Amino acid sequence: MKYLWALLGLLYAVLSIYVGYLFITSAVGAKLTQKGLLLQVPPLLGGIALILLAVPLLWNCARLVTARTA
Amino acid sequence: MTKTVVLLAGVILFVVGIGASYAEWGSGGQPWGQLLTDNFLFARSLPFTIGLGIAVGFWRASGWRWGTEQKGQQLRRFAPSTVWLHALAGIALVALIATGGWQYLKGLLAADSPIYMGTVYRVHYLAGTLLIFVTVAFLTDWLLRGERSLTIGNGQFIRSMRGLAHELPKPLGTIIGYTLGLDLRRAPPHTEEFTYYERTISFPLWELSVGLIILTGVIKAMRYVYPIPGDLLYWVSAVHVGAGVLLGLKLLDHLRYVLAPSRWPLMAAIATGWIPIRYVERFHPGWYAQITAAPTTAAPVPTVPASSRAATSAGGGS
Repeated sequence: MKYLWALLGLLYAVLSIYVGYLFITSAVGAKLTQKGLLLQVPPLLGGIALILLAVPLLWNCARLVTARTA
Repeated sequence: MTKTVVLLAGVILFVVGIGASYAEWGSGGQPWGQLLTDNFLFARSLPFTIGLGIAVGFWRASGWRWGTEQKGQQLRRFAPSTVWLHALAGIALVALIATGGWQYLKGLLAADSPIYMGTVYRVHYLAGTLLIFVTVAFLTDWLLRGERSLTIGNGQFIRSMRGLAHELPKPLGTIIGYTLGLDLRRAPPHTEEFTYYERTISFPLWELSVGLIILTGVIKAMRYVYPIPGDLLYWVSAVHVGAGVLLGLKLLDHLRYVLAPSRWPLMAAIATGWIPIRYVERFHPGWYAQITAAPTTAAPVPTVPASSRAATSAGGGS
């Protein structure tokens, strides 16, 4: 069961990184640049946060399948 | 008897409420398309969804078995209904994040959706109904039983912060200790049923993000039933999107926490309801001390040796 959960966690982390990347590219893209900083900052910060928080999850998913559980 | 009557009344009112809205839609008297129909059905079903949640919460609280249940070398950590409600909340949350994220990205990227957006909204409303039901059921149950194990507790702030500082990785714990003036040379307080990380960081953030998403989502859904000023709706929508991103971030952190190898038994416990006694003794010594002091419904748990009570917790660090 832990392998299934590690896979699901991995999928969610990878998807979050991709969505974070889309947020960041949209924030610095032509459409939002025209609309001003107020509309650019939320997707930019959200994208960075999604990528940063996905990394520890990736690490724990890898540890879950390689390390001994308690 | 009373709890069954209340539960039945909740179910019947829910069915009647939904049925009345469906009957109005089916009569052909309303010029509603799929999107507007779904929005109306969702908005008009809310009082009945909340009512059903209260009835289920009352039913749970009334039939609650107080005390500790033991089966072999396993202790009951979660009631079967908690396991089911948590699973429903998880399904609702994933569906809400997926469909909400889909809507937001469609606007942000100005892209055509390969999936009909009416279907995306329909799943969003169904998942929203499920999350509201589960949240209300849990809240009612906890309020009626006075359940506080996931909160800091009155007068326990400094103790909880000391516990948190010890659970977090050392640099973070030191920052908290220095900022709040905590004496980290003292032995950490014993971890009870939930870790200090869960009680001070994780659960309050769930409360904030779920509370915001439900409140703003309900206001947005009511906009065709009751007129809401455009400026207010703009900010409500902005907060709804922000709370949605916060929920996505919180789920990342929650999975990071429970998928750590040292906490795998906790993950198994939310699926089965049971947790090994040895794990409780080692990582939740405060809870172990409480349950060994209280009578169990099966064979008594062996007395805790004094030395094992100083064990460290599974912590919130990695």
